[in-house]
Amino acid sequence: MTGLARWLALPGIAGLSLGILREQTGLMLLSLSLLVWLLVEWLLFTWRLWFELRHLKFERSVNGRTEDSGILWAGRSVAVEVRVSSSFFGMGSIVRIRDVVPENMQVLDQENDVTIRSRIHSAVFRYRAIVLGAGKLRLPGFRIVMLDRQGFFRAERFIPFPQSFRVLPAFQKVGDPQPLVKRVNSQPQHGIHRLQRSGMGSELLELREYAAGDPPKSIAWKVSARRDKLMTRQYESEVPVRLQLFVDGSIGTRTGGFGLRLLDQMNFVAASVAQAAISAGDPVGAMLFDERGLRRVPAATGDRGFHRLLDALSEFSVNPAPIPDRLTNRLIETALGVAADQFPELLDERVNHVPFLLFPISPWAHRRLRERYRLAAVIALLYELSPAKQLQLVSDDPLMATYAQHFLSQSGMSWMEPVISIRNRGFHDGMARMEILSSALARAVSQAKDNEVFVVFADLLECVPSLSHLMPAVKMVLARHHRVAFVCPSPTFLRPTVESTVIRSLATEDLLLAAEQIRTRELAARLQFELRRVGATVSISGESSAIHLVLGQMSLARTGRMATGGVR
Amino acid sequence: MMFWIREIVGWVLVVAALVVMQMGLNFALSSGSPKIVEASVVIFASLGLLRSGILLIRISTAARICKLDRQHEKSP
Amino acid sequence: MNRPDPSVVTPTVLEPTHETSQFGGLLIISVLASAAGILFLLAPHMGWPLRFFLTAIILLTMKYWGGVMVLIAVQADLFFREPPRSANFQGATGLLAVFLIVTLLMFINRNRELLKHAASRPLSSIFGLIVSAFKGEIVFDSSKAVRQVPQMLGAIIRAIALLVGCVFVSQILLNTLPNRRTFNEDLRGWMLDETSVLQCSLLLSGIIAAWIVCHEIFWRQLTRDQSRLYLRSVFLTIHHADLRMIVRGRLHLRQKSALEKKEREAAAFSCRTENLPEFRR
Repeated sequence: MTGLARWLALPGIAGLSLGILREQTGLMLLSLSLLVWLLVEWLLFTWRLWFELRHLKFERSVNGRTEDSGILWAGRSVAVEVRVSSSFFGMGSIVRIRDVVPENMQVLDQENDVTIRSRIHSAVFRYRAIVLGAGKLRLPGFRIVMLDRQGFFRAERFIPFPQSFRVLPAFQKVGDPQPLVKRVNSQPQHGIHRLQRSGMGSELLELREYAAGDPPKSIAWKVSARRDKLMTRQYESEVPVRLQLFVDGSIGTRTGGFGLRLLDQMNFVAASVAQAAISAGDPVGAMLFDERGLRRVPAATGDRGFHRLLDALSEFSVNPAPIPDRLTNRLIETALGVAADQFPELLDERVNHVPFLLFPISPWAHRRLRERYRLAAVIALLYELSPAKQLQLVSDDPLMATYAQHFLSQSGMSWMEPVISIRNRGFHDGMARMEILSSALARAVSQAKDNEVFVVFADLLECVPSLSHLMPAVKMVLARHHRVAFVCPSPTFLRPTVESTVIRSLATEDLLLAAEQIRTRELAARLQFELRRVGATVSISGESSAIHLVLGQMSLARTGRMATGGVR
Repeated sequence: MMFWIREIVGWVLVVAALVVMQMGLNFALSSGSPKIVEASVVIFASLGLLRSGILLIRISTAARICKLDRQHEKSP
Repeated sequence: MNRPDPSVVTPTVLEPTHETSQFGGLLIISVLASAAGILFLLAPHMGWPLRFFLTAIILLTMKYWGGVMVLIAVQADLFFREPPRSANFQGATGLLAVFLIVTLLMFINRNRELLKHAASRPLSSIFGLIVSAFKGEIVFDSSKAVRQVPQMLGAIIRAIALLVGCVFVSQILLNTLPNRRTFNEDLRGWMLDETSVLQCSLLLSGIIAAWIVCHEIFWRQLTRDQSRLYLRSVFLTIHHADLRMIVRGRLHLRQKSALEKKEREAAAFSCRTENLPEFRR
């Protein structure tokens, strides 16, 4: 019953009572007619709710496909079409249908809802949306609000219609797939590069004096005759270049809205670099690490290898169970809001009873406790908890916080407050990250071949104080003649240049942005200084400049030329 | 089968409650001397019966819906 | 799979109600005019300026309140002006008057969206609409209008049937049930005649039984999850006290063991510090 119906019923009842007391027939008749009208509308509405809703049928196609699962790409737009049909001849209720969209999807040009009259047998609505970040995306179903024509009664239902998608990270096609520096005598095999070091290749590198032990077939007889001493031909070596990506997925890289996480920036650069490398025939592998541990993706080439890498990145980008946090009112309210949005029928008081409670006496505290009972019941049902555990959710704050966070995370909410609170996790997290990254580098070096490029995507800006723990591993990699590039994305998506620290206006947002940029610039300068000293390259951005930096390192590795560690 | 037995028992209780309630109303409206106290006791008892009957019916209905849906899930 | 035929997809389904209706402007004008008409008929002893003022106020509240303020105004007028036990509202006149008022309320509520839409426009556009209606300048899309006329006629017939039913049922109820005037006579009659007492108790029991049956039929709409939740909450309600005791006991034990562990660690640390050798210069 809506407020309007209540406000009509109230004068109706009052008028009837007064009419009976004062024996005023007109007042009585009018008031009673009104009440009977409300009663009849209620009966009709209940009838419609029962018959019309169960005859509604839905069909949703995403990019023209109606399967339960599929693949989407981050950063690309998605066309969604929803068909609603009814096999029942309705009586004219107004039905508002909304396709519930998770946070990882942003509706673009049209609305994702439609208002129809149930008398219409079939309706269709389309909308376009953009997928924001890699990971998983689940379209849970349709939220339906049914109203009668007078606006007296309103019922909300949720029709589950789940479709799950794996979202692969976005990437940019960059560079020449087969870079050729000069004309060559023989085209090397795809993925084999001419390294300018002595080896057994087909291109001449240099001529030198014969030394004992050189194979006789490598003696350059004509040159030897001209110089009157034995000369030996030195050939270039032909080796593949392997790209090894190290992606950090620790909590700091996962916080923020979808598409704005550091992890999304890192995924973008990693996927773009991998695409460029694979198109040049270089195998690409990855080490994905976070608080859960280290996961290795073996080096592979070709389209299949690229897709396997993207799959791994996509799976890695799915936020794990959040770190247990303390229970706040906001957490409960948000969880209740999501439950009301996706499971409105489970919060119905007829089925979700709250036992009789005498305490607390205060009405606000009493209401909050009752809401918590309701939420606990919904969570217990969804996660199939025992009744004792359900009651424990009401009394045990940490347990409720854990389940509420998990519920929100699984409902497609990003890692922002209140799902997790951003705390000062600085130093200890940084130490742990350095340790795990060091062990990943050591492991990669132990399995490495001759010529490898290591690209580390990590949120190192916050770990500058504990960078010394990483240095031994970096030095070891460089000592083995591999190349190392660091890509440290900035939370503001801007490279910390002098221009970026200029205050644009005195608006609060601009001042905050400038302050953040100044801080980032200072941290970046320290980070660059430390890494430059040992000969590594660094990019403080998650954009195309970082991609070009890594590709530059790859082209150096392919030619075998040495270059000092540059800073971008 | 248990569900149906429970539901039948529930409806029997509801009917019994209505009969007892009618008895109570008769007590209250009897022509000679309205027995208000007796009527209230009887009506109170009938309300208890009614509540337990409705509870049984609702529980059995809910349990049957759960079971039916599980069978539907298993069948395909 | 039974795919719906795309040809039956209604092209106007995405358009809001006020845009689909060709008669939107006319409906707004007629709602305002009929409400103002009824309101002007009320309280004739009041001065014109006051009536104008009250009518304007009530018309302005229609956007949010629908017909509530109109109803209250009519009820207040009846309360103050209708003499007790008056015969004015008995018979066909009374029925017709009540019928008209409830029709107006239904009309207002039905077109609330239109009123909201009109209220969001500037006042001059509404005046413009009224002027153009009088001049006959409202543009009609005849094909759309022709399509809408049968729908509107159907809706009007249904509404009239509903209203007639409601008013007649109310009249019958008022005539059947005892009112204050006839209450004592009816009670006396019941006291003397046992069969009427039996009838009354039977009627009450019947109403309760019908109510229960209706509710139990609607109860069968439950989804599987709702049924599971209901069973769970019934179980929890029955065993609430016991389960709460168990859970609180568990939590208490956990807190106690955590406290003990803390104390043990503190004690161990103090032991370690006590065992350290003394500092000597």
